[in-house]
Amino acid sequence: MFKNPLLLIALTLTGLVALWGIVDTAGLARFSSSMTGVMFTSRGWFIMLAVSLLVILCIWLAISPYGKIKLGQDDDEPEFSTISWLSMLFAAGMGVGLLFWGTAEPLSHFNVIRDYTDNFQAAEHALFITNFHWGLHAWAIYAVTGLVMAYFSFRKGCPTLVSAPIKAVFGQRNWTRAVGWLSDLLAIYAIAIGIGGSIAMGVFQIQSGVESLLGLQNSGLWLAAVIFAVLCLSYILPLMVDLSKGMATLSNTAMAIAGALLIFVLLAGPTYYIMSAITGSIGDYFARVIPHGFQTYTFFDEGVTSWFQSWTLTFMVWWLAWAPFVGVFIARISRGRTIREYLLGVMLVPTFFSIFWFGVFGSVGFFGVLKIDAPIMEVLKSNINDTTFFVLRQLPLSTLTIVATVLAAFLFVVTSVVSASFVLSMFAVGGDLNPPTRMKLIWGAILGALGLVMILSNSIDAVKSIIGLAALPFVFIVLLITVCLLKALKSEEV
Amino acid sequence: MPINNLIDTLLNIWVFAFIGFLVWLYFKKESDGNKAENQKSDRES
Repeated sequence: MFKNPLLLIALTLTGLVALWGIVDTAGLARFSSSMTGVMFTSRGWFIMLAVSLLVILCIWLAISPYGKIKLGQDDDEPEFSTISWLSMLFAAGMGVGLLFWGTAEPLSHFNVIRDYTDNFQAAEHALFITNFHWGLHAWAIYAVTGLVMAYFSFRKGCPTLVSAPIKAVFGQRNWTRAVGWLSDLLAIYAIAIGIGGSIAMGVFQIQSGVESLLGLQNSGLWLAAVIFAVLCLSYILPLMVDLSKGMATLSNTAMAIAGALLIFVLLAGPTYYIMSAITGSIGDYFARVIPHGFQTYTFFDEGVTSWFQSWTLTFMVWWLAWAPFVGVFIARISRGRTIREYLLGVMLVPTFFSIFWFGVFGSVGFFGVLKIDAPIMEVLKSNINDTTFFVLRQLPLSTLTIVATVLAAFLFVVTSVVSASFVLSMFAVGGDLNPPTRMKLIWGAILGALGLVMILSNSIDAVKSIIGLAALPFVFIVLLITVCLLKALKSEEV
Repeated sequence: MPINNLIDTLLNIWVFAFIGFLVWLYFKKESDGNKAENQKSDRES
């Protein structure tokens, strides 16, 4: 196992980042923040252009004759029911982020935008920006990565590796071997850091929920450490058993809880206000989404460009960090579906769900700020992790809903870590779909250590910049494998 | 300031070169050996 140089270098690299973070958390956060600042200033335009082109490519592929091509052999049938498939891909792609940012993100944008316009327009634009971050652009990154992996794995019989399309299309040459090797390494690195961030976000969310339930104030790192330990213990067992059916059950449970929360808040909150906001935001989103993908805020002041970098660009690279992991996962569960069915499912359904989710949780927050003067902006500024729970505390049955949120966050993090350990192990052993248990446990430990680093940083902004730095190089890989797909599709008879 | 400009220029030259590389890869004709290899792998799958 340790004769594999890719595995050794990947383990060393991620291990060193984890060690650096444990020894000097502030130093790592400072370094990541300054490096991502430089990268975002110089290459922000490129990230937005690349992601927008991926959206346009997905739309074109879905409506083109290539949409009829099956991801698999022509007689392959889908392994999972459509509902189970959608639930799993959504849980893998967004998961705990939805619970964390549901109210916090729209209100954070509102807090900046209201300095430039009136409150009502600021709320509308804040909801649009949030939907933009979680909608078609995010899912286009996942969809394209997953499509390339599924096409080459199931239709061309290649190993499930990021490097496989490059070697399959351009042959076994020195440069393809070198670029392929580097792509696999960058994919492993991006996944590991991205999941570390997700663990931290999940722990922050659960910590706030537990504080809210037990009436604790600023429990500090000890509670985070306890939650982290329980989390680590919880994902050891799933790493040791076959994950296919178990993961589907865990994902479906987490999504069912999230769905129930959504419906509860919709019905228990100001329903007319929420539904009006959702209806408005659907129109607003689809009218502006494509042009907004090319928006880089070049002529705006420092405050706006800094907000753009710390939100829009950070989210886009966040999705890029998750792309190899979610892409492989989506690919694995999408065998037997046509490209059209795949793209419509992966792009549209999660986008509508996100619009609905942020419409519900965001507009409950706006109702508090604009209609009843609730102190929600103060909560957002003093403890962003508590924003969702503050909203839940204003509604009936708050103990039950807070417990449900904590449970869903816990399940989302466990499913993410288990799936990511599986994908990382698969990459590290050359694309074998059944990687050894020992390998999965090693990756589980590394992911835990990276999660611990991000928890120690005790700041969601530090988490965002550490992920940003790890994921930026992956934009090049996504574009490269997209070219591989386009070249391969040229030889299909449609 | 000049050092920032230099870094910005270098980072973007890399991006332009990469875009050029992608365009070249897309339009590059496959060699016969490579084509045969791909067809063989298609047949096997």
